Amino acid sequence: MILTIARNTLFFVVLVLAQVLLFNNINFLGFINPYVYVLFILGLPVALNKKSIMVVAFCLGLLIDIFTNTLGIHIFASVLIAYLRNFWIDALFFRNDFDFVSPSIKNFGFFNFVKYAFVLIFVHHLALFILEVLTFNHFLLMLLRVLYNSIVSLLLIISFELIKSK
Amino acid sequence: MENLLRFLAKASSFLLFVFLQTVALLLLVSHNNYQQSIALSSANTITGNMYATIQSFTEYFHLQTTNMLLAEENTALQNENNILHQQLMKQNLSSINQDTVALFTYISAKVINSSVNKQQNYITLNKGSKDGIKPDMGVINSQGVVGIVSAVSKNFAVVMPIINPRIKISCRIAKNDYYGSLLWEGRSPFFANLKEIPEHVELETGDSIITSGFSSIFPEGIPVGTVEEVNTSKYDNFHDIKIRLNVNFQTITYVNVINFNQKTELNNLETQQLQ
Repeated sequence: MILTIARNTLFFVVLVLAQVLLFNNINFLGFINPYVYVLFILGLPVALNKKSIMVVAFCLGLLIDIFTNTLGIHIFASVLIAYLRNFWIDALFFRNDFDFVSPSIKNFGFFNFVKYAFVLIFVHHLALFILEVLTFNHFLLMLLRVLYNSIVSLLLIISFELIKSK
Repeated sequence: MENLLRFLAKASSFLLFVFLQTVALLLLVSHNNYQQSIALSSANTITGNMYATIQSFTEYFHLQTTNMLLAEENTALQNENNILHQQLMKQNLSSINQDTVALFTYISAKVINSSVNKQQNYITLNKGSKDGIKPDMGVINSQGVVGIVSAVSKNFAVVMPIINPRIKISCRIAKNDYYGSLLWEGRSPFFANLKEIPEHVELETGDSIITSGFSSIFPEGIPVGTVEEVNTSKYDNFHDIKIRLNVNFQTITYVNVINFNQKTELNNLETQQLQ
């Protein structure tokens, strides 16, 4: 138990640092900015209660917001997927199968994990980008941004998962 | 009563969700005011120092371009100095009056973090209030206008660059003195749009755009960009002008923060007028 908490705390710090120092500086094609920190919310144990997940997501979003000067938007997007996460797991699987594990490629299987992760990443990015512009002026352009960024975030998260499971 | 308690217990995670999202939106809305709070921005001590440390490693990658730009600026300033010197000699003045107070002074600062690919971009500088930087000061570099200071802590400052849709900069077309405001629409970090230029004004690609000097933020005549494309709008009598920005925000390393020495005097005068 203590080991799990310690490991997750370390992972939390590493992910925040990787996000703000590395991934926020990726400037591929001028608009690709993957947000891989959502992996932390995606990977919390299935059995963990929803309120704790939301509080953790709140802290995670707050930290990212402070670094990027965008107070509020990462918090909102993170808490949103933290809330939706367990509904989505229930919709995808029989809950009992996974009660004591954390979502990962190893535990869910490749395609199930991709299905699980992509929808949540997309919802997170959509909320994030809508709040960032706070206008529907270039809606189609924004939607494309959301889609491309979601795909890149997903690819990075999958590659991380594959490295981890080896 | 019991039913109510049971309902609350059942809905508690939904209530927490609503509560946290309300907090997030309140933070977003209150933070959206032009001036940011310092503790919750990248100007705070921890994030500022972290960015400064990382910058001290990554700056080596840009050394060549930075050196080239500095050398070019140096040469340009030398040339200008020579010309001014000659003009002084012509007028038989060996030096200018010592009592003259410079209207503007510059504070040099280094960029420790910046973004170009977001809808709202920010730049963090390694100098803050202890070096004399205050909110609302203009920021330029050797290429042209960079942005306006939006939050300042003791050691760091956050700048809102032109490539952030929340600022508007008053600009002038250099060749015919028409005024308009420069806005960024959130697409490419290389282009912005100039608004409020009436349709009858003749413009060509390549015309340069400079600051108007109307505010106490930027002195007059600092380059902003050049005209890239002129379109006529169907809906009103104004041009829709695409401007290629002079400053390359992707490689920005050193900047000057402008301190307008008579700002307090001007502001006092203006507030007196309003009363």
